[in-house]
Amino acid sequence: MISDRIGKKKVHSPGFQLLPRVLKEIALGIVLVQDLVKRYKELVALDHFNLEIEQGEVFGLLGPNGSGKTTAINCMLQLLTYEQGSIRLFGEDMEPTRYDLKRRIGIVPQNIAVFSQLTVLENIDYFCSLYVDSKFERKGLVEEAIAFVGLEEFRSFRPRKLSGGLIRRLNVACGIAHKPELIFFDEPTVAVDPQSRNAILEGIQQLNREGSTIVYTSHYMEEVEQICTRIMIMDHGKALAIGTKRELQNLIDIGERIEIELLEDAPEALELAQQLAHVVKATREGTTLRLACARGESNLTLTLAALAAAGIDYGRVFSEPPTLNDVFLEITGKELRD
Amino acid sequence: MLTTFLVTLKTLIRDRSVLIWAVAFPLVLSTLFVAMFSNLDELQKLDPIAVVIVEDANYTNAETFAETIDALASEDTDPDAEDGEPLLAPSYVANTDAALTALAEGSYEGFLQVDTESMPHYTMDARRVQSLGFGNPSQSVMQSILDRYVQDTGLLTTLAAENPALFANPAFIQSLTDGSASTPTERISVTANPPSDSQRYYYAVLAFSTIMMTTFALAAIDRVLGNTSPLGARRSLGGQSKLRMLAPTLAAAWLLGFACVLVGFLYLQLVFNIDFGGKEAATVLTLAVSVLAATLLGALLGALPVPLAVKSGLVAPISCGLSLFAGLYGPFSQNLGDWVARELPWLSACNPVRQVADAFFALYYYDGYAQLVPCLVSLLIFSLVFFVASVLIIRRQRYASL
Ligand SMILES: Nc1ncnc2c1ncn2[C@@H]1O[C@H](COP(=O)(O)OP(=O)(O)O)[C@@H](O)[C@H]1O
Ligand SMILES: [Mg+2]
Repeated sequence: MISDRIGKKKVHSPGFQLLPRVLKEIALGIVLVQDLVKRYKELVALDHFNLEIEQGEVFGLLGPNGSGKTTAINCMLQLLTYEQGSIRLFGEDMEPTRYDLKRRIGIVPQNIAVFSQLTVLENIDYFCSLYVDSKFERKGLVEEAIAFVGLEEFRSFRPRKLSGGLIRRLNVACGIAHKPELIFFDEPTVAVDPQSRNAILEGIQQLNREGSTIVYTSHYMEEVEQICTRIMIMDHGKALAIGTKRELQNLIDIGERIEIELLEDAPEALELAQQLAHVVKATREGTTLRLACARGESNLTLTLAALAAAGIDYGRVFSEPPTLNDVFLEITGKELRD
Repeated sequence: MLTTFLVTLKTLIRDRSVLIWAVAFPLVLSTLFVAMFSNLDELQKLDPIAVVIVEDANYTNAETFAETIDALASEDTDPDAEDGEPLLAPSYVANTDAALTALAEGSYEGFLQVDTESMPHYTMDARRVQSLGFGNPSQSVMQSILDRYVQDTGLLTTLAAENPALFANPAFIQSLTDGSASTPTERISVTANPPSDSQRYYYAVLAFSTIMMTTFALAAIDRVLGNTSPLGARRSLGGQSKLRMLAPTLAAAWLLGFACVLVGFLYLQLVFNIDFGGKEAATVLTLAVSVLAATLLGALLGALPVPLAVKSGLVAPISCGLSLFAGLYGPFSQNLGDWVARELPWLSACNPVRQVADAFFALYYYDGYAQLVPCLVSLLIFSLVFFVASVLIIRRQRYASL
């Protein structure tokens, strides 16, 4: 019996061991979370949560505040205990003492986490030192990170002297200086001015081009739409939908949103629109008419023709594909942003 | 490791609130207390006791007694006393009535009168008797002067009656006059240095300051924990084990604390001329061990899963509370601490501040190191206990919530 078992192992394991790491990761994904359950006392923060991320993706975790994004990251990185589930990173079981795996990961936490007593340079060097031992090697990495976030002029500033946007950039620099293969960005643009926000988003895409796999959480759909290759919409600790932006848009009935500015206050316009076959939902706010249309080729032409026939004058007209907010709204019955 | 060490040093040195608690607070409090209590020695020194002496025929007849009083009233009575102040400040009157009148004025402690048998009697001012007990040392001084006199004359009278030959021996007479016969035991000093209350007081101040060094480790360890701050969480996610972070963090906190108390020690020694028994190396070792205990206590407090403000808020009350029994707050607190040390020695042994103060005390008062070693050992035991307890908390990797 015993010899049988040993024999079995001998036959099966060498072949598996010989698989190159890269192959294994492609086969299994860089992140693989299965059936993760995390409770804070009675509150279920992650409810049988599953996640699979491939190498090279910019993966977006989109969900309203409190949907469990941060909790999911902290479970994956073994900072939080969890009730059940399995977490594999780089194809290996993630455990608290897997420092080898942790060294391949970068984290930009949601809350600013830097030393207020250290300068920009000292902060980045310190966090880099948690991953890279050689002071000499770090010197180059730190300079690169400083240039990357555009903090060259602020090297010797302490955080308290930096504006909110610059502190956020420092927060980013501290997480990426060691050139990790996998980087978690947890709402890195919260409370950031548009200029810094764009700098951060562009930086993330550049890191991706340089080979890092990105996990990006946000409750701003525009950002996720802008940079993510694949998106998971989550709420109450559960994945609601997953796919590319296009795939998610196709999940719902709405194919197009049309906004029409009427030249005069015309209540009959709303009634007219509601009767149109391709209009799923119509609302009017003063002289602005908003229509959600079903998927179709000629929504706009049909609508404008009907208005013209009824003698209703209109000015500017906008048409856009549905947003992720529409997707979220349709799935959960509530707005993404509170 | 080196980076963590340097970063810990930098962050602590640049942290104003840490510096306030670790440096400014003990400095201010110590200066305050030093100002209040540093004249302890003077307080306990006796002014000459003002007594009235009835200089009547009986007094003149009692020659020995008159000589004794003269001796006590002269400047160089006590060769040990630094300034040679006399014990008595006698005023002479002719009779009892005059003595009573003088007493009624209120500026005398009492009056002395010799009866027909050459026996002295001391009458105290009734108003002063009310404060009998702890408050009136002059009373007990007078008491012992008279007792001693009566004893000695009694002894000599007996000797003369039983062994008159003794008085023919010039050596014996000589010994009587130089006073050595009156002390049956030889006077030796059991301590290396003369005791002084303010000395003890400065030790309490230094011990208190030493324990305030918990602040450094507390702040530093708080920033290592994964569940107290976003910063700690981020550090916990890095590719470095908690224990690899713990060692340089504690080393930095210890070094800073040690540097601070070393400065405090030099300050006391050079500015206040506080004597540490001339054992510099042992004193520095004592400081090092004391700061180690303080640092590890700080590590334990810092490891508690409560907000930093709460933990930091604990340090001052703990240090001040423990310092009560080390004698930081003057004679009352010294006596209380001594009482606890006598009656509940184990409780005293559990008080690191007391142990630190006792260690300095031992260095100063005793030759050799026999009394110092137990203090250091108990401080090392504290350190070990605090260390083990804090490691058990700090090495945690995962938390149920952040
Ligand atoms: N330490 C905690 N204790 C109790 N509940 C928590 C704790 N942290 C988060 N939660 C709850 O868990 C849920 C998920 O939170 P979080 O992961 O922070 O969401 P998100 O990052 O998507 O905003 C929320 O309902 C939040 O209130
Ligand atoms: Mg969050």
